Amino acid sequence: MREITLSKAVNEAIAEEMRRDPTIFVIGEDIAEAGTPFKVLSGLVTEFGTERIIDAPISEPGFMGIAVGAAMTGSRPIVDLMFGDFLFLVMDQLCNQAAKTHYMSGGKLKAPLVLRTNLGATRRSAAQHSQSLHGLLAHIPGLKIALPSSAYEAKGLMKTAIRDDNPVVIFEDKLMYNDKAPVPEEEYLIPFGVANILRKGSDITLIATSSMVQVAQKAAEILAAESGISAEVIDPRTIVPLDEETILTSVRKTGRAIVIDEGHQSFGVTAEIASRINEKAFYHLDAPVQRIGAMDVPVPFSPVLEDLTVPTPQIVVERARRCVKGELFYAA
Amino acid sequence: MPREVIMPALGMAQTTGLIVAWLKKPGEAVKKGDALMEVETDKAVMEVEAQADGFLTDVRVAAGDAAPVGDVVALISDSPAGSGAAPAPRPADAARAQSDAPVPAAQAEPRPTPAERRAPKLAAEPEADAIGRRILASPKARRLAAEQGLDLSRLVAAGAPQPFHVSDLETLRALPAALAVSAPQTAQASRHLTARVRGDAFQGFCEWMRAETGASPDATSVMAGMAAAALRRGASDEPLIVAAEAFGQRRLYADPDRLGLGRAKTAEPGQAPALILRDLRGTGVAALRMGAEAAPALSVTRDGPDMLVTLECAPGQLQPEAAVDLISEFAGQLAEPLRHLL
Repeated sequence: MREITLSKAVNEAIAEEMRRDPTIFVIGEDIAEAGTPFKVLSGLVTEFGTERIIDAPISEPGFMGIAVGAAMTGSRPIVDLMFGDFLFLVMDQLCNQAAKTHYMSGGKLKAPLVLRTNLGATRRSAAQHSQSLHGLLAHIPGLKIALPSSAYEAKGLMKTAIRDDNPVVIFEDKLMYNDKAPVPEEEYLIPFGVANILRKGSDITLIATSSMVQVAQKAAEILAAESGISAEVIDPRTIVPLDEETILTSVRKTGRAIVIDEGHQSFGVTAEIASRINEKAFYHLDAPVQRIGAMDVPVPFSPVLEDLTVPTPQIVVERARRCVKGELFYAA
Repeated sequence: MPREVIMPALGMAQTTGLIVAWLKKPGEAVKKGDALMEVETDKAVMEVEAQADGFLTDVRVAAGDAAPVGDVVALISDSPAGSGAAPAPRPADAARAQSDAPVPAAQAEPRPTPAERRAPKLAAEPEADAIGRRILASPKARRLAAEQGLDLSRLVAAGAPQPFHVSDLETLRALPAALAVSAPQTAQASRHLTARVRGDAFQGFCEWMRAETGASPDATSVMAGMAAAALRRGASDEPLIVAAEAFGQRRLYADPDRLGLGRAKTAEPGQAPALILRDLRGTGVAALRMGAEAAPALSVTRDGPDMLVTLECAPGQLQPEAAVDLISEFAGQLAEPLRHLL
């Protein structure tokens, strides 16, 4: 099968959907001729013109509001938010308006829009361009949150997002745009709320999102090779909706779990998933559920410090070993 | 017919109102529309008007106190003396009315101080004790033990380190039926020797073996090999059985000094050991005096970074020089494990 980059996969997904459905348009900063700073949308303006690939001025609340209104009145906009950190600028339009439109209109109105943006640190982009804010949005009922972990996932999830009748936020990891993966030529969609088991294992379950899936897979390889520990790796793909059953089934089998996510550790995705495991698989746990998130600090600009703030395979391996050995971390 | 004066709801989310002041005295005549009391809500102080003509009586809530919205705070009666009896409280109010009723000071129970209210009355069973007695085990281990009728407290008694996990249930199943009485209570140990060695050498040796051989040696069996070598030292080639005890499990090793470290084979059960080795490093035991057993007993305990080796035996089992030799040689091997290889 051919291999393409994550950038190309997203580009293809949007182009295919735009050919299929004339109500779809894209709006954002530097997306037309520039094709976004990450070149993800390169070439789309040539095919679809500036009426459907709309360069907006630096005005996130404005073009987000335009998109919500357009979505409510029959279009299917894709909003391109250059950095996930800019989410704070569009909170009212997204959380108070788009997320609640369907509910508050008693189902009479819909806001079928996609907000595509990014997450991820270690790009040396400093504290205001490196955040992973997906957990923040997952707290808001009415928003669906997709976290592609490869080019294949990015294309399938984007196409499903565009066809969804409610607002969907897709976070791509900004360090993965050039990562290649096998992506079939023929059309496919990846349904929301169906987790992907990337590796079968019997000793411990590693639940990881977005680029942390790579971290978990690397850790699983090391654990198998060096410690004889068999780790199961699960990518939830979407955290809203969350495929709880696949996670719980795995943990009931292994009795141990580590949740890995690049959002800040406190009050985030790792906390939510760990908590659900505790609630629903408690009597199957042979060790406390472990969480590995990003450090609770603004992402440092210093490369040396920045690298220390995010989960790595080594951290996962160390934690998994102690977990399987039955070392007590927190008692007494 | 007296009319009730009700605490009104002055705000949307108000649940109680504070009576700032009564603007009429008990027994005073009031006219409908007269300001009767000042009520403070979270937002403002407002005057509340009388809803009927009459006399203010039966004031139940004093100025400065709060009352729930909807509660009767006073009556407007036909005579200054009032109804003579308070109107029957609604059932839901009964309990509160009772507890709120003023009680003569002499009869009142002393109010608990805030500290007393916080501390539950469990003086007989302080929290720390309760935690100390609780067995630490994973939820899964606990569930499986319950399902299989296994008693985790036997693992505690056997000295296995907590918390227990599913893997510890194997140890529990393998425990002899009555560990406590299996040790023969024979003669007093009249020989009791102790040696102290640094713990890091043996630890390092085990790690080195792990790195060299790729296998994970059972430290207790390595120790059994050293103990057997120390006892045999220059003596015969006769078979030598060592009984090694760790985490409540007892294994018999046949000639553990002859098979290469960590590769000791377990012996047929039922054979009488020539030496007993207790590996108590995983327990909290620091020093011990157990009494003589059927064979000389070497016990290894942890004391900070050091290991303590204790040899106990009956006088008839080892001569004084032999006892000193045995513990010196064993301690020497623990301190410098490479000696064993020579």
